[in-house]
Parts: sequence; C-alpha cells; structure tokens
Amino acid sequence: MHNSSVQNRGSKSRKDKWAIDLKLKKDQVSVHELPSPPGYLTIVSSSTAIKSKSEDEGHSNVVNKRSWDTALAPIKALALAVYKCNSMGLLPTHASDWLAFISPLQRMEYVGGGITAG
Amino acid sequence: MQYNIVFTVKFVAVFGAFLCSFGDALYEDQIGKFDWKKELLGRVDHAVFDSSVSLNKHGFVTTEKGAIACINMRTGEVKWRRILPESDRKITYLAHVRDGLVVVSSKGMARLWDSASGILKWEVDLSVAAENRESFIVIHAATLERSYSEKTLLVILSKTGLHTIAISLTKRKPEIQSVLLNQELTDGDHDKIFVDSQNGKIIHLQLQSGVRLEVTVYDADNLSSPKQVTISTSWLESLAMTALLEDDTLLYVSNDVGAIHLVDLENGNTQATVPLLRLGIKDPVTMMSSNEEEDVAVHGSDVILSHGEGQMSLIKITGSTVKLMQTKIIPEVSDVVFKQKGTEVYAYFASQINNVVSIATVNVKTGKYNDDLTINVTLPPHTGTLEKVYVNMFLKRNTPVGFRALLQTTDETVFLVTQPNRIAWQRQEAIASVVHATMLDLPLSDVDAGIEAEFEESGKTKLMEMFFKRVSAQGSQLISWFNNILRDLKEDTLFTHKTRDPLIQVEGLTRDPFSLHKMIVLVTKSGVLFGMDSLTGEIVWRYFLSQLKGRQLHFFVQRTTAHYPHPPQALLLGLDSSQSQPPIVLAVNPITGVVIDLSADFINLESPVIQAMPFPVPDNHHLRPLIMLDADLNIHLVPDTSDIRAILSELNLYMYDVNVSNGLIRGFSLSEKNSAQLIWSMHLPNTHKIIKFSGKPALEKVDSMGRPLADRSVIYKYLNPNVIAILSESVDDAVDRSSLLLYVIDAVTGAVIHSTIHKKASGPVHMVHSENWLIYSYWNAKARRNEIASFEFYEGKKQFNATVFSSFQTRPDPIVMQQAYIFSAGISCIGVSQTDKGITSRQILFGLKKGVLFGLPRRFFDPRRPLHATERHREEGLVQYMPEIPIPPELYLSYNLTVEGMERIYTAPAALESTSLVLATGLDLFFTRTQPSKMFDVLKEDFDHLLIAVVLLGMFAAALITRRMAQVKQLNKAWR
Repeated sequence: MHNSSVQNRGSKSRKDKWAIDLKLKKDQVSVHELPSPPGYLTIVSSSTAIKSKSEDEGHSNVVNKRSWDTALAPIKALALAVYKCNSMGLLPTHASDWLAFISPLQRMEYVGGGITAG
Repeated sequence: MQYNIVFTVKFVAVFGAFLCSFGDALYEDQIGKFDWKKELLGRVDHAVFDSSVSLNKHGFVTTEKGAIACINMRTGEVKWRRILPESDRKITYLAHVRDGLVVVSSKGMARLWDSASGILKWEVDLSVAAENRESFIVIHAATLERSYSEKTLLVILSKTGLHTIAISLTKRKPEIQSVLLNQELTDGDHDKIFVDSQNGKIIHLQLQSGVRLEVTVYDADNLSSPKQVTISTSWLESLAMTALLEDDTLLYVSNDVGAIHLVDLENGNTQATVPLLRLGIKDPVTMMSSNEEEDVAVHGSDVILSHGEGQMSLIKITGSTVKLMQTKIIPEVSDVVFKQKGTEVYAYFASQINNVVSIATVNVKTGKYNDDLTINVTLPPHTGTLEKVYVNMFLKRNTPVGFRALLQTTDETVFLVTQPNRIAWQRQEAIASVVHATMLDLPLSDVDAGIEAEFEESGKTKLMEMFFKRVSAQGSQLISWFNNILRDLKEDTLFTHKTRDPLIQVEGLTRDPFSLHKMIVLVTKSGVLFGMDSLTGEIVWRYFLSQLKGRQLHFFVQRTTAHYPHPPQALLLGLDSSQSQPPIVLAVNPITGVVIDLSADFINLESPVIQAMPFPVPDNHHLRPLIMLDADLNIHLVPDTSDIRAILSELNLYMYDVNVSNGLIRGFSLSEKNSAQLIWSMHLPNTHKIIKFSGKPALEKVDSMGRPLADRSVIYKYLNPNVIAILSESVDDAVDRSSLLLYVIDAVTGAVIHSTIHKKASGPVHMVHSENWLIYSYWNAKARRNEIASFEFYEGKKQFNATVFSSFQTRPDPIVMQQAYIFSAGISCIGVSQTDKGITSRQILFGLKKGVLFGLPRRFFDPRRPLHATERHREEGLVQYMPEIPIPPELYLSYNLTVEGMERIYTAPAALESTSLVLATGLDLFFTRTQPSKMFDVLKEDFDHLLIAVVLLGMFAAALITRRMAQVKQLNKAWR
C-alpha cells in the first residue's frame, strides 16, 4: 500500500500529462476516503492517538529505508555484478589469470659445453 | 575377452579424440609447394657400367651408405635406388651380369637385382652355413661368365671358404657350393681371386708377405681337388705388384731385386727374370697396372709400369721375353685403367694438375697414344682431387672406340666426363653425410636495409639529418614499391605467385616478411660446406677444404643477418680427432660463402681444444665471440680483443665437459680472464658408459612460466637454463642385467637434480631437452620394444623467485613428473619444433626408420596424462593415458615420401609465430614446415576473399539504400 503511494508521488512529476492513472488519486489522503471494505472497522485502527503516532513513525521509517535502498542500489548492483562476473570466471582473481604477465626469469649464470671435442 | 573389448573401445575413443583434435593433414595440392626432398647416394664405393651392348646408357653404383643405384649416364638422375639394411651396409663387390646386378656385402649377403627395374630377384646369406656367423667376412668376389652355357657363376672368397653361386635370371633359387679353406685368412689385402672362363677355373692368389705366394686353382664346377702351387718369393710385399697374364703366366715386379719375374702357374717355376735396368727403368716402380678383369681369359700380356717422374712404360711379354714398347711422360697420374671391348684394348691414364683432369689413352696393342681419345676437363672451383676413375669404353662406327669416365673426387663429388672435354653432369654426394645444419635468415632488401642502417647510426647524427634520412628512405621504399607494381603489370604477374611457395612473395635471396625463406648452411663430414636455398634446395655456394676431412666439425653463428651493415658471420671449427694437430678456424659469411681462414692464429696452440661455445651476449659489433677451452684449461677467444676479455670477466660464465671415454663430467668457471677453474666434477659408475648427452638449446625463449590447472591455480615450471641430461648404458649388455641410467645435472653447480634407472633397457637413445621437459626413446630389452620416457620439472604452486634464476640459490627440489609410453616404430632421430616467441605449443618430431618424418603434439608426452580422464583433466587439455603412442599417417610431415636414412632433425623459427621450419638430414635431405597449433596467424590459402568482399560491399550498399529510404519516409510523415 505504502509502496504504491510513494510511486504515485513520483509519478506526479512525469512529463506525460496526458496519462491517467486510474488506480490512484491525486492525493494521498484520498486513500482514506475510499469506502472501507465490508467488515473493516476504521474505529479500531484509528481509535488511539498512540496508534496513529506509531503509524506516522512507521511511515517515515519506510521512507527512510526506501531512500537508503535507492541510494545503495547502484552499489548493490555493482556488488551483484562483481559476484556474477566472479561466478562466471570473468575476474582475474586466480594466479593463472596473471600467468601471461609474468616475465621470463633473468639468468644469473650462463653455461655451455658438451662432449669432449676432438 | 571382456578386457579386450573394453580396451578396444577405450582405444578407439581416445584415438578418435586425438584425430579430431589435430586432423588436418596436407592437402594434395600443397605437395611440393613448401617442401622438397633431395635423394642422395653417399660416397661411391663401386661403380660399373651397363655391360649390355644395346643401350649402354646406365651406370650402377654402390655407396658407403649402403645405397645401390642405377644412374642415367646422360643426365645423372637416379633411375632407381635401393638401400641395404643398416646392419649390413658395407659392400665388397658389384658386377653387372647380363640383365642382373650382383651385389655382395661384406657380411656375406649376395643379392641379385634386376638392373632395369631394381627388383630384387634373390638373396643368399652365405654366413648361415658358417660356423661363426659374426666373424664371416667376404674378402673378394668375381663372376665367371661362360660363353658356352647359360650358367654364370658368382665366386666369393670369404675368410673361411670359397663359395660359388650359380646365377640364373630365370631360376628363383640359386645353387650354392662351398668349400672350406685350409686356414682362415687374415685380411683382404693379401688375397685375390680370378676366374678363367675358357677353362672353367678359379684362381686364388694368397700372398704371405716376404715369404711366399700361394696359387690355388679350383675347378669351377665342383670346387674339388684344388691344385696348389707355391712360389717362394721374399721380395713381394703387395699383390698390387702382380699381374696374371694369358697362358697362365704370373708376372710380378720387385723393386728390391729391381727385376720383373715371370712364373709359370702350372708348376711354379720361374720362367724369366728380367732386370728393370735392361728395360731402361732406372727408378723404382711406383705403380703397376694390368688388365684387372676378373676373367684371365681376356687378359693380354701387357703391363704398364709407372716410375720416376710420371714415366709410363708399356711392356709386352711374349713367351718368356719382356719387351719395352714405349715410355711416355704423363705427370701426376693417379690411376691407370685397362679396358677391353672385343679385340680393342686401351689403357687410360687419369691425371690431375690443379683443377684440370686429363684422361690420356694408349692403344695397348699398338703402343700408340691416341690424342683424339683424350679428355681434358676443368673441374669447378672448390673441388677435391681425383680419387677414382671408372672408364666406360664403347665401340664406335667410324673411330674404333669412344669412352666416357666417371670421376670421383675427395670431396665426394661424382662427375661424368665425356668427349669432347665436357662435364655431362655432377652429383654432390657429400650432402649425404651432413654433420651440422643451420637455417639462417636471409639479408634484407636494399631499401629495408637503408632503414635498418638509420637505427644503427642513431645517436650519432643530428635530428634534422635523421629526419631527412627517414623521409628519403621511405621515399625510396615507395618508389621501389611502385616500380615493382609497374614491373608486375608489365609482365602481367601482379596476381600470380612470385615463388612456388604461396607464403613467400619475395623473389631472390631476400628476406620475406614471414622469414620463411632461409639460407641453409650444411657442414659435411668430407669437409665441404654448402649454402642452400631453402625454397628450392638449390646449392647457392660451396666451399671445400681438404684438411677438414676426418676432423670433428663445429659450426657457430656469431652474427646473424639482423645487424646491417655488419655482415653475418659464422665460425667453423675443425678439431683433430687425434688431438695432435692445431685447430682449423674458418670465418664464414653464411650468405655469400666467403671464407677467411683464421687458423694461423691458433697454430701455436700447445694443447688440444676440448670445448668451444659462443658467448651468450654479443660484443658492441653484435658479434658473439667464440670461447675455446683447451686441455690445460686455457681460454682462447675468437676474436680476441681486450673489450671481449672485459665482457668475459663481467659475465658469470661456466662451462662443462662430458668425457664419454672415461665417464668424467667436469664443470669450470670462466670468470678469470685467462684460464678456467675446475669447480666440480663427477664420475659416472664404471658399470655404465655415456651414450647420450643433451643440454637445453642456448638462449631458448620460453613464453609461459607455468601451467594453469583446472582449479585455476598455477604450477610453476622449473626453468633452470643450466640443466643438462646425461644418459648412460650399462657395459653389461645381457638383457637381464642391462640398464640405462639418467642423470639430470645443474651444469653450473654440479648438483644432481634428478636421476633414474631403467632396468632391462638399452640404447640407442634419442633425446630432446627443452624448457622444463625431457623426452627420450630407448629400447626395452625385456619387452623388446621401443619406449619413450617423458619428464617434466616443476617448482610447485609458488614461484621461488619471480625475477632471476641463479643455480646458486638454495631452492627446494623440483617436482619431477614422469611417464613412459610404447612407441611401435623404429626411431632414427627425434627433434622438436621451434617458434619465434615460443608461444605455439611444441611438436615432437620423429624420424622413423621406415623413412617417415612424423610430428606429434607434445601433449601426448605430457607426464600428467591421467589414467582416467575427468572433466577437470579435459579442461587442462590432458588426454587420457594410453600406453601406446598413436602414429597416424595424417601426421606424417613427409606425407607419402620415403626419406631414407634420416640421422638428424634441425628446426628453425620463422617470423610467423605459428610456423617452424624443419630439415631432416641423413642419406636424403627433406625440408618442410610445420604448424603445431595450426596456422593461426595467416589466412588459409582457400580463404574466400571474393565472398567477403562481396558481402561487405553488399552490406555497405544496403546501408546506403536503407538510409535514403528512411529519410524519404520521415519527410513524408512530417508532411502528413
């Protein structure tokens, strides 16, 4: 429920003015104006101030969390990509990946000879 | 049974995998484009001419290398050639009888070949019946052709008996008769046999030097009851001074007595003794020549005595009178040959003065010298001296006779000379005994060399000057390119191949971009050096120095062609085998064949040279000096300058010396300026003798320092460049006690890195040693088969030191992996492919006894091949272990050719990383190239350039059209 409302807020700024979102209203408040489904007691849910306060708090928590999620998404995506690359074996993390770059050993001594001539 | 099925299935599966992985053999139309083969014969031992009157155009030769060949005498081409088995190559006798060629080998094999086709008619092993088969040696042989019967007898004198073989071309099985001699003969120089076709007799002359001459006469039909006559003569030293004349007269000349003796063979009585002085011969007789036909029935009664300074006296014997017919002076005569055809008898005198060979002729009947019948030919430069002359005389219509002669010179060249004074052809048989071969890059074209020269001079010249030089050099490059195009257009050769090799598009002896065209320098046993064009196998230059013959020859390239304007240089070192003569040092330009003799600098060497090696680094003229070590451990340098001595003291140079005769291996340090210090030595156990030794190729390029494993870790190679491998064979050659002992030694420190013993195994051993691996073949005496052992050395999963390698570092012992395989073919030699950067995987090259050059990827000899291959192994490219090494004909580099008598395989890199050039030497010479990892760096010959061009152009056109269409469409849309 809350998720969709956040999206709705965002959708306000969309360029396409002509698009009509039939599912959601302009205002978030209007959500409460909807007739309750049968058997749903609004009195119980909004009877105490504590409850509404906690609801507000919960809402801001969600926004917070969501913001963090959004902020961290690229990093997570990167981590995922790294993981994927690694599992596919695309990352040069093994010794064998660097083998081609090892330069030949420099000789300290030179030797020659053979079977006794003559 | 079940095991068998499983085995077969496995074999088929593994073998199939092998074939799939490399199955691209040569295409039929590639044959002869980049490979060539030279068929050779070797040094000629015996030669006969076709004795049939009709065609008379073939000659037959047998050679030191066991080749029997029919040569077309007009062209010098080999019509057919057969090679005797390796164990029995010494040929004692060759004769042409009717349509057959009789060849008797020294070990008692008599063979008859059809002279027209070279088909073997029959062969007889005389040694089978002998008591001691090993010591059976044929001393002499002759053929008895009887005019009245079809039967021709081949008479063979062996050390122990006299044998006759009835030759009949129609019969498959010849009849053999043998008779034992009273005593075993000593050697070949004191016995000779003749036949008498008129009386059906066999005459055996046996000389016991300084004691007596024994003449034994056998009846040719039954060999029974020989008649023996003993002539006591204490003056006769050699059978060369005897002659059998007609009427059963034996003539011999004794210089001690100074007389000619005539002996009647019937009773052994001396008929006459004629002092030489009475004939006007004052000097000792140096050579006596007579008709040496085996058949005494055609022998006349004339001999020629050479004495003094080239005086040739023709002497006629009538009854017991000796008459001097004529004396003529012919200087420097090396050979006198009597020839008879019908009633005509001529003697030929072959002589040589400088390069001119003369063959003078005398009519023996009349004693007249015939100037019309003289051949004078000038042999080409760098030819040896005359060694042997084979004369072919034939009857002519207008003049009585004509002749041609086969000349053999000391440089193993065979010439055919004909009238008038013409060399019809020559064959370079020295190439059949190559002791060393090198493939060198050709020089750059003049234009490219100009640019190279610019780099050579950089630093000395000013910036602007350099700039102008570069512009002018590239300008001239452009002009020459245009000129080439214009010439090609004029000659209409723009799109044709310049050479027969599709990859070599540069004509002449100029380096091509892929450096596939090389100069092959061959050093031969007889002391001839050849420069050969690798594209065609043609001889570009040759050099001959007679003193090199019989010496141990070493060839070192000091400077390649890469250092323009310095000319390339190589050194030929000729060391005396008896270590008594000073070394011969020749500086050779390997491209032009110009030789400078430097031997004079070493004439005063006090002790023999025991080792020689080129410097690992060049001096400031790009020349790698040669360093020689003598028996007193003194150091000699070629060239010897103070700069080079300074370089030597800075280098950490070591030398080792493997003495095969006493099993002593020594290591020396050369850091002192003038002498070497012994730093280590080891003695092999005296139960074993060294049969094979192999160091690693000097300055070898290794691309990869390790091998990736399936778990993607690395196992690092043990790349010690100072390692040598020494293989020794047990002195005891009984199958049960025979063994092979391998030592892998660090030649700097003398540390034994690895040792292995193969029990119940023996040589011959062929070995290749490179990078971190060692492969050799040996004979498994117990299982009676050829096997191949393969070793690899690794440092482990960690590299001990990633920057330098020093033998003095205390490293952990390398991990040694080893495996052995069965090789089901006889091996003559082993080599390994070599590429420019060492990236391409290696191919092990085998010269097989059956005349095949065969290349197999090295992964077949990977000692890590698993018994049960899993996915992990396949990932690493390891093939499942199978004891047998497959020898599929698809991998024959020599395709359907037979390369006879291969002895060594030489390889050289091309500038193309995928390609290695291969040269097999031996009796034949075979040159080809191989791509162990297929040709990954050049488009295939059958690459469809046209299709690619058409597709590209089509795509381009389509893009243009669709772009236009899209524009039109958009415009229309906007208007709507």
